[in-house]
Amino acid sequence: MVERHHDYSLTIPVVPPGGMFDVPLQLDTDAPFALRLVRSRNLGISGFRFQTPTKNWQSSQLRTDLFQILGRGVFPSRGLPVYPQMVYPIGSQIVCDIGNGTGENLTNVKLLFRGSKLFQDGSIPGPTYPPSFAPLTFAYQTVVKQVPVVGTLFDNQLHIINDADFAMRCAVADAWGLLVDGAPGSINSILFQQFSEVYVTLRDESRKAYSNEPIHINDLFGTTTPFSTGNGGNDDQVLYTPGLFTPEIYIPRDHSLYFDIVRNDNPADPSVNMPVDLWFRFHGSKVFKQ
Amino acid sequence: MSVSSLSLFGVWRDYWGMWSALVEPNIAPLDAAGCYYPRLILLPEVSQQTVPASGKVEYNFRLPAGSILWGMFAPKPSVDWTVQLTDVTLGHQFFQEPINVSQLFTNGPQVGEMPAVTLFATPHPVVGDGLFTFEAWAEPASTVLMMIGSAEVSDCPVK
Repeated sequence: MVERHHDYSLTIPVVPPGGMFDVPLQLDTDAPFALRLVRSRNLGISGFRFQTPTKNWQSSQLRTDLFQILGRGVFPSRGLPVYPQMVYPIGSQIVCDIGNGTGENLTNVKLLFRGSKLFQDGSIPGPTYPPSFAPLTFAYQTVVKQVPVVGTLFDNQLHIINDADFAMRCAVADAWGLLVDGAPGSINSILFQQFSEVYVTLRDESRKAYSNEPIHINDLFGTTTPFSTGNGGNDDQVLYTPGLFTPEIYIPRDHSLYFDIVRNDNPADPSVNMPVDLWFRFHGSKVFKQ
Repeated sequence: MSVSSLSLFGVWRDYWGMWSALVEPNIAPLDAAGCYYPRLILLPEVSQQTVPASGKVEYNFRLPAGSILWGMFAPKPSVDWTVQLTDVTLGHQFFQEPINVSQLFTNGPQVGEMPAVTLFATPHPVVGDGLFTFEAWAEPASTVLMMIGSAEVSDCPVK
């Protein structure tokens, strides 16, 4: 079996007061999907629930993916772990209820279903470790400059240099400045680069996507502060946690990973109405064949 | 699956999506190995932690061959700075380009505070001369420091 990281995202542009019921998320027809994590965005305490592969509700009532620290408040988590995993058949649906107890419309609500597609051996390229190898810790970097306030940048590239394969296990992305000789940066010089609505689609070398639609950058790459990004409220306050890829994405040497960036910030919002330089760092292991 | 004493850390939950909890089983067997004892390596040494007017600190250090490096402790900076770590013997830089230290720490008891170990994706062997270089770029007169966690090789057994 070839496991391949995959994110399914269900986007509901407007959730009216009272919520929406039996909203289907259509799964792809190329492989079963093993669900391992669920995360909400722009939903808060209104809560959600979803159906299992046997069409039973996973929870009897709406639930959230928030957690509470006594005396400090309620915070977003990295999502609800689903253990043991739930394997949805090819072409099936994940049916969801989305609540709204606010009395007002909730907009751009997203439910992220993270897990793996399960391919049969030989049905998809599945590069992996050589029989004998030596790994070394490494972090690649790709910088995408001048991401416009509204727009899409296709085919940004992480190229694996030809000395070793790369097993990518986590990644971070943010609008960082780089301190260099004679030109030190500071919090103030970095803070002006703000963004909120930035979404990324990872693709392999054949441009096959690792998600059904662009995934919010903080859900895919984590949020690394102290320089928090965007104005997305609590949803963006997941601190010091890089985005994990489980299973890891194995990229042979001299091959590439591609990613598309979609930004849709509000040009009228002075906090996010400037182009930003996005710094992507991909952490993992170089794998030297022996 | 092996489990190390690191997993006793108060906020350590491998289902929270935390990096170090994910890769900790890779280094866990070191806990039970009898030929290593724990050592934290402070970088750079205290006298060189204040950044000179050039904005750069460069510090070479040597570790016993046979040791295994398993992670780093990067304290939360008030002003971000940039770091590169190089294994001179292997000719291996840990980062393709110098990296902001803010991208190297993970959760501590207080979010972002020490101690917040960030484990390496792969335990790093110290070979040959064991010579390493630590480079940091930061605002002049600021302070830069981090620690490397090492399982330092010893005469067996130590227990």
